[in-house]
Amino acid sequence: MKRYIFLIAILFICCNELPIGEEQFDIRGDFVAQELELPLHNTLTELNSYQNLGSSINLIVGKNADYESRILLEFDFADTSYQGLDEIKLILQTNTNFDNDTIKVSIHLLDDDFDESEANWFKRNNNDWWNNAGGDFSSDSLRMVETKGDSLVITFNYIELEEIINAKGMIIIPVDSGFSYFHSQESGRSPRFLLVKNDVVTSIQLNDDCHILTGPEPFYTESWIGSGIPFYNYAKFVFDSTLIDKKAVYAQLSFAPEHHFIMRDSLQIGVRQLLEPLDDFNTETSGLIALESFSADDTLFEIDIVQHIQHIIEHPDSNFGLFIILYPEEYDIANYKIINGSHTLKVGYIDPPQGRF
Amino acid sequence: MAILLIYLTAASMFSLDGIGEDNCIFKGPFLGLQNKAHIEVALRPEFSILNKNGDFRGLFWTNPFNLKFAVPITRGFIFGIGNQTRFTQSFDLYFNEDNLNIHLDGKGGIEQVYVNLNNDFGVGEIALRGSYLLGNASEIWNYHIGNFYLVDTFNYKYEGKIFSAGLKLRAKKLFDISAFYEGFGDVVMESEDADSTIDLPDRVSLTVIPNIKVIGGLLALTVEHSFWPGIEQSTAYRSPYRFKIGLIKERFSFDYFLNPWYLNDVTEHGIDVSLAVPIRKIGSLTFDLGCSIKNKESLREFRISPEVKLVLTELFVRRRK
Repeated sequence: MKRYIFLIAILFICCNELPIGEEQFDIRGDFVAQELELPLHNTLTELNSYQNLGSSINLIVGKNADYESRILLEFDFADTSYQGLDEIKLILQTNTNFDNDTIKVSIHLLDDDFDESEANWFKRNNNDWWNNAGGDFSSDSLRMVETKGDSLVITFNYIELEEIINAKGMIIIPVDSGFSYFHSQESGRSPRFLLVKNDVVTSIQLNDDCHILTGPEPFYTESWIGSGIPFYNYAKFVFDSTLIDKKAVYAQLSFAPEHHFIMRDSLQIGVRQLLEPLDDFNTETSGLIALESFSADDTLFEIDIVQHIQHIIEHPDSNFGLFIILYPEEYDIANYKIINGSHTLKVGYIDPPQGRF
Repeated sequence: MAILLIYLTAASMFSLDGIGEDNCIFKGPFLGLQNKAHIEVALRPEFSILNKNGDFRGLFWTNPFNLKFAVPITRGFIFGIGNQTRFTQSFDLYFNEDNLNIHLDGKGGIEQVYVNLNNDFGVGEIALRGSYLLGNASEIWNYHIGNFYLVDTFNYKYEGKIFSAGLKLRAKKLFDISAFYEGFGDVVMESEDADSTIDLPDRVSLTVIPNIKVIGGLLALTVEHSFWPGIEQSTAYRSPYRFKIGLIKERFSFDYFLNPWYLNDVTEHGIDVSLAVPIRKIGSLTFDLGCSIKNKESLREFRISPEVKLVLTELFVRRRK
């Protein structure tokens, strides 16, 4: 035992990375950060109303004054002549991570098929538009149900099953105000269409599931971040030549929200830097260079974007600005309007070390 | 194991300053005896523990072995050649300040290759040494800032010279005394930005071994002084006096030394314990355990350096009787 204690002690002494002797660094320079504030050059909002939400782990149905979201489902019925069934039901599992509302929804049959990886409020796939934005469906409701509890269970009869089999899919549209979140196929707890016969349950394979969303269109010069319909807040700061040849240690980007809409307690805000001058929503960007979590009710958001500052120190002609985004973009329906002019960027920097002599 | 040793190469944290740690204090140009040819091979790994307040951190360093070859020529003249590490610039340090983490990894130093022409005239020895200094060093500054890394690298190349001369007298019934002077040394440091010539300090050393028995052995007293050039312009360096007192008893020796570094505020106290074991018909094997503590304000560095030195005598020369 003593031998092991000795070995562990040696290992501890040898392997740690304690900054003992960091005073020695003073010989080569001052490594305590100096700070400057970069002035804001410009800020505005880019959005994508055609966002496809097929990869979201949620299926959202609901509406309010700004948004409306509908769920599209398509099952693959291999057999077209089911006999002697005891029960026919559709089950959607509620995502309880959200503050779900109890709302009435209506189920309709789709007239046209859709591709979950391409569909949005306006188009059913990349090539074809819906005849009516928000989906083409029969006006007659198949069912009207209320969303509540841990799951939404809808039972059908034989006639309705026959209609469902012959249709291009189903659409669930909100009747009341409010939103309900269900797990999608991507979450691993996908919607299930079950046929029960003599206590034997047959699950029908789900081909496609997604939700389609329409929402507000903020004025271009306002500052918004949003998910569902993604709003990218573009911000660019003026580069200060003082930073040339320096090393950025931190870069505290902060901004304050004016109002928000969100149905969860916390959010994540990410930052991507533009790799070319701003053109539109699809301007080429880097991957996420910063990602921070916040409480939904925070009154000030602060994110360290030191990687961006170091990038523009090394490439001053590549200061194309940033996209501030609500992350993940497809996860839910949320938005924050940012107070214009509240963006600040404080940069801490150090001089590079001196060599010997 | 070799990979581990390379990975762990690091020495004194204080060698970040100046031209590094002076590894040749108290080392003079004398070849020792001798009327016999001999080869010395020495390996001196070093284990250091850094300490400040209650925190400890260990470092391991090993330098290439030192080699010394000496052969009598004629009429008491001895020719010698060898190498030793002159200045070490290896260190491994961490810096943490809020968002900024730096790992500084230094490697290399200045190596000394010397040629001796000494004369043993019976009651003493005259030593002349000319040395060529050479070496490379690199410093890799790894910055970990937030979620990204940056690296700065400094590379240095050294080339220079230094000379020394000394006299040793053996008055058997009274004392042994030796003194040497080292000077005319400089080294050119090439870096990416510029070349700089650094004048090395002149050094004077005096050792006296009175023929008085203390605890059955002989006392050896050494005082050494380095004169750093241009000291009046620099507040970073000083010209220190160093002291060493030793007890020599047959094959055993014990030394205590005080070594104020040429770098301001760094002071080293150390002991060396040495045992020479003769190996019949081959030479001797010397085991040395050196321990020291280096201080700079509240910063401390404990050094433990066991040395193994193998001396092969007359194996390769057949002398005519």
